[in-house]
Amino acid sequence: MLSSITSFIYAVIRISTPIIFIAICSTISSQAGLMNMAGESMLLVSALSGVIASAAFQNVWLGILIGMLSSVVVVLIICFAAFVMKVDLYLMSISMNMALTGGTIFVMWVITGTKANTAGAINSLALGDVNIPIIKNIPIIGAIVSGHNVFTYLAFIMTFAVWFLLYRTKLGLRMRAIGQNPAAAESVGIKTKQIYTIAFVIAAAVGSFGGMYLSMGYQNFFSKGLTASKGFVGMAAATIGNSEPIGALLVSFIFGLAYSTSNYLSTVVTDPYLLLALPFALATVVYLVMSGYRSGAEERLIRKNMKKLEEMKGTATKP
Amino acid sequence: MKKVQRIDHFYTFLRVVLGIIIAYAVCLVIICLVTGADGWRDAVYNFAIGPFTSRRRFAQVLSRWGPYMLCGCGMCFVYASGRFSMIAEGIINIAPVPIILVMFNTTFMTNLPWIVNITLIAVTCMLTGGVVSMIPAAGREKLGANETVTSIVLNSVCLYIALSLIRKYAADRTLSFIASKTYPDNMRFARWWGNTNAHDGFWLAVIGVIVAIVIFYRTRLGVEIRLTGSNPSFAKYAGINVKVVPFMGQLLGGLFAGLAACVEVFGAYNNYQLTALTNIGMDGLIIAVMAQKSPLYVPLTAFVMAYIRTAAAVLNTNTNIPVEMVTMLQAVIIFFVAAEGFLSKARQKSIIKASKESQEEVA
Repeated sequence: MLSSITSFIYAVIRISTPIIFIAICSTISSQAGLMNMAGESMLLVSALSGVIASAAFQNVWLGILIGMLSSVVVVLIICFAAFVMKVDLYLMSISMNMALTGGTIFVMWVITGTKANTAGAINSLALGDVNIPIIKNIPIIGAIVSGHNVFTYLAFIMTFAVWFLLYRTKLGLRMRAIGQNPAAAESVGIKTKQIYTIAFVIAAAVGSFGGMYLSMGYQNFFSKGLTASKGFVGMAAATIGNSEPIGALLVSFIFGLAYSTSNYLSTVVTDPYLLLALPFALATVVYLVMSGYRSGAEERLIRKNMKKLEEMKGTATKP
Repeated sequence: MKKVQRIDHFYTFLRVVLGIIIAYAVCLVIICLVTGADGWRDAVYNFAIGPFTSRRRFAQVLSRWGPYMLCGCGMCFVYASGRFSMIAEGIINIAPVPIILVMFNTTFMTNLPWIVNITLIAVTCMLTGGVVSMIPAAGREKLGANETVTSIVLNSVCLYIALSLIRKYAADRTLSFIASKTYPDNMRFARWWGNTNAHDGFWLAVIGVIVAIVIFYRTRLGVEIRLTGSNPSFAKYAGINVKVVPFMGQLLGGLFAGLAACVEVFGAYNNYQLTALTNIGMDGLIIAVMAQKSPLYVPLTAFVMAYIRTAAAVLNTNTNIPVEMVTMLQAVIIFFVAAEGFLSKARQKSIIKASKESQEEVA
């Protein structure tokens, strides 16, 4: 019983990893005031190019570097289209997602000759699991915390790195300033488009690890439909977590819980499609409810302050 | 002033045409690179002329054209009201499901005449589409949730729920994959061009486009949608309810997407056999962008899209190059067509020139 519980929690962390990466990279861009609709693009392009590069050079670190760079290049194209050519940012991001959904399959076909996956066709490398020396011997905690993929530990490190970037650096302050009021930030000499682009490039670099985890950690090949809208689930997680890195991390675990619950229930529930729908349905419902709560909270705050103001007026006129 | 407007229209037109031509050229170059020195002539011929070489293939274009027109019109309403709801994608999958359940589980529709059945099917599909599209719309206007995120996550929910319902209540057990039983003859669009894919649903699509044009240009709601999309604060001060109007725009988009689903599912196929998202919703957005949010140009741009999709399918059957290649086109088309910065300097120059000329004339 105990071992099944610990293995379940282990699976939750394992499945949450790509969502965490996308969620915390979305917090960077949304703190800068723009929504990261291109999460799916980041995942797809880095997953495929990481696999191809690691197979071509037979060096996993070079593969990761190239996967990261390709994700950055795609985001730079989106930024160029949005900020220089003045295409609507969301429109460009959505169409880039769709283009890469087909484009990655096409490139995979050109290289391997199949449209299903790269397994067997090219010999790509993956990062292995890590056993943490002392912790792995502690009974319950060891089974949960130790033995994860390198990318999973990187996700936790990244969460704090992003938190540090946003709240403890000059660049982070500028991003948040633009996110709160672009016009005011511009009036004090912050170049908004430049900061937007930097925010998106950093987001792309962080998000690319999620894609590479899928193709170089979780499994060691690229396959069709690998991402399955995880880019958008991660983006929803970031919004639900109030665009705070720690909040985004926690909400990602909730979605990871939904994914692994639907995996575990497949022995009990005979309808496979309803189970597949479960994580997405949960994401939709939680996202709608939290958005409603948050917009309501703003209104409540305004009403409260108005009341306070009226009270102050009342006391001021009395004597 | 008229002159400036004319120049503006000319450059918008130029942007669209150039965007399509550049995307098409990119596609041809990729085909040449992939096929290599010996096979490229054959491949390019298949891609460029392929859809027009036989009656069957051209009928394929026609059968794609119908749903594309309807979905494009729907996306025009969504896009013109300033929203990016991608729910059309999921609606194509889920909208036909309720009526299919009625069709195969009750005897209600068995003896009704064709015209009654088809009306029933179209209306149910539209209503389902409308109801589903209201979820992201209400989320946006009531709760402040971004409609793009909600709709794209919801698309997966729609796909799986549709598959689950079909599997449970209407599946044909003799097939190895999930599909419904074959539709009876009085509950589907008839083929009107011999043994090809062209079907009566096309005429329904033509009627749909005319209705869309009338709503868009000749009703109060159409004006309000266009106004709210192009300038929300102006619309607000002009006394338009800026919460309700985008909601109505998205609802209309859902209704048209539902009709597109009806034409696609009950015309092009003999049974319900969608096991993945169809990409029609996304293509609808591209069609609307190419038509510059105007249903008047949707038939033309929908034809371009149907032609490109069929060309890719022809190429796939003859040379094995995957259909997915043309999805890369979408980003290129959007990049040029929706870019206000593209050709903006040339446009500015010619506007200045025209204004100076008219000034001299006055002087």
